[in-house]
Amino acid sequence: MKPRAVVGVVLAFTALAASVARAQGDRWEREVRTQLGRAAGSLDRGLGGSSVATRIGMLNTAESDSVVLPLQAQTAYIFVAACDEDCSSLSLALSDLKSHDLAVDRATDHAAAVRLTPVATASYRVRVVMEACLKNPCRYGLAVLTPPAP
Amino acid sequence: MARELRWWLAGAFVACAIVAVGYLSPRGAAPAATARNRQPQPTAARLRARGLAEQWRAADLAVRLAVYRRRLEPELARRRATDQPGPALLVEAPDSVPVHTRALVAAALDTVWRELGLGVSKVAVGVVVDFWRFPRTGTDSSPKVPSGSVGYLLPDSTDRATCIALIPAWYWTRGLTRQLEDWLGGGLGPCAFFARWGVPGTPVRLWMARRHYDLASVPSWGREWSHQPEASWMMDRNTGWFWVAVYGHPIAAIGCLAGRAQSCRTAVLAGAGDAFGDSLPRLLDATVRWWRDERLVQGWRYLGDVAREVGYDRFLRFWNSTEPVDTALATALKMPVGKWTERWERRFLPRLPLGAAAPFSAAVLGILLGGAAVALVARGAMRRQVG
Repeated sequence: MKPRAVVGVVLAFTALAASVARAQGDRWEREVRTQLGRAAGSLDRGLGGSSVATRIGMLNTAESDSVVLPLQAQTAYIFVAACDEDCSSLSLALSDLKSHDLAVDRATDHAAAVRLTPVATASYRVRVVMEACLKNPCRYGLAVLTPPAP
Repeated sequence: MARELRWWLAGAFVACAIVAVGYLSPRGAAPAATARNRQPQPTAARLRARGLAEQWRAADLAVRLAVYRRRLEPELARRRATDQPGPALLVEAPDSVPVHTRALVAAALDTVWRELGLGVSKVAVGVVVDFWRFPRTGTDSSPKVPSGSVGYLLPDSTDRATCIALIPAWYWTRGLTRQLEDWLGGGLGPCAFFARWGVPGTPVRLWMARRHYDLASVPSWGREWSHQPEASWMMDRNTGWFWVAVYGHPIAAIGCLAGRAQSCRTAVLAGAGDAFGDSLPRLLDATVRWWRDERLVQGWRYLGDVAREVGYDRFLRFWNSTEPVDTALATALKMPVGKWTERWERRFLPRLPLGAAAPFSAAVLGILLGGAAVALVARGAMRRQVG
């Protein structure tokens, strides 16, 4: 992966993670981190890719959160989202800034993943929707992975 | 005039007097205003000053609660990281309060927390117990904060998983631990609901916010209180109903007291379905005169009692439902809302007699008078036959 892409994504997550920093550390968040790691591991098994950034937050039922990330052209990205035990459905959508959906995973369980290799270097919006949460708020996590170039 | 006729007239007059005494007393009527209790109408300037003072107090409470939340953050974070159950506690007290009071309060709060079955909660709770008799307001010219101010800072977009409760405790009599536990349990208010069932779904959240969380004011699903609450201030078993207190309530609450299921439904579901033009209020000032603002008699414990009766899982489905409130609540109760509420209301007060029904004493008096009249007529008739 190109260093500029990594730096851009990391900076974007760092700026947006301040609001959730206080909530770090409870058992639901630890569960999300574990799930995220497991999901990323299954997608990335044996490929030796790297996890670029992780964001942890919380949402009530039907609420959504989005983050705008700069992505590099011709670089493969995998976006993985996971949520805690009380969440039964989580969606993940990737779009450009004009709201054109580029990749969507309307999962019916507590994990979702999409892949994208942008054709142009630009900013893209990643949107996480908490479709169903039994006990609000549900913790969710989003990770951006970059598999190594073939 | 014949002597017999005079007796008849006198008897009729006495009977009318007895009936008048029985029926024409001012029972049920509001006392007329006298010069002593008549309040002068406030001037426009005074009304404006009162309005400004209210705004100032609201702003002061908002600032206090925000500061408390910030002060409690390190302890909340520590508890989250170690999965420690119980609320984070902050005791505000003057020097005159003994040092060991904090330990007493902490122990009582842990007991309450355990009895409510809250455990490690998804929405963390911070409790501020305030022993100051007169809250400090900064300057002498500031409006006075009413002593015993109760306030809640509910989870919001800046902190979705923290609820702060401000509980006044200056009136606590040392040594009465059970009393302290009752106050702390009641003082947790909506925060206890948030801790047990999380942040409610949108329909319930809107409904509760619209009503200032009046139906979720006390987490009554735990143990029974050391003093069993009754609405005894509304009626005395010997002297009957206090009509001023009864008619201080909205008409739906009165109808519910009278056993009308439709009125009960109206009283409970008031505010359901109404929309908020702006974002939901996150600050809840519970320092209200509940006897004046009560929309349902004993409504402060309504949802706590619902939770106790239907159990954790069914209440969670209601609390977090995306269905309209009446549908979700009826599903949880497994019966119409009005019918269940009417039965629930009977736990605290007997049915309020409304309408044209004659009271028992009046009916007995009428029958006795009628019987006496018949007896007198029969006696007179017998005398005439002899003559």
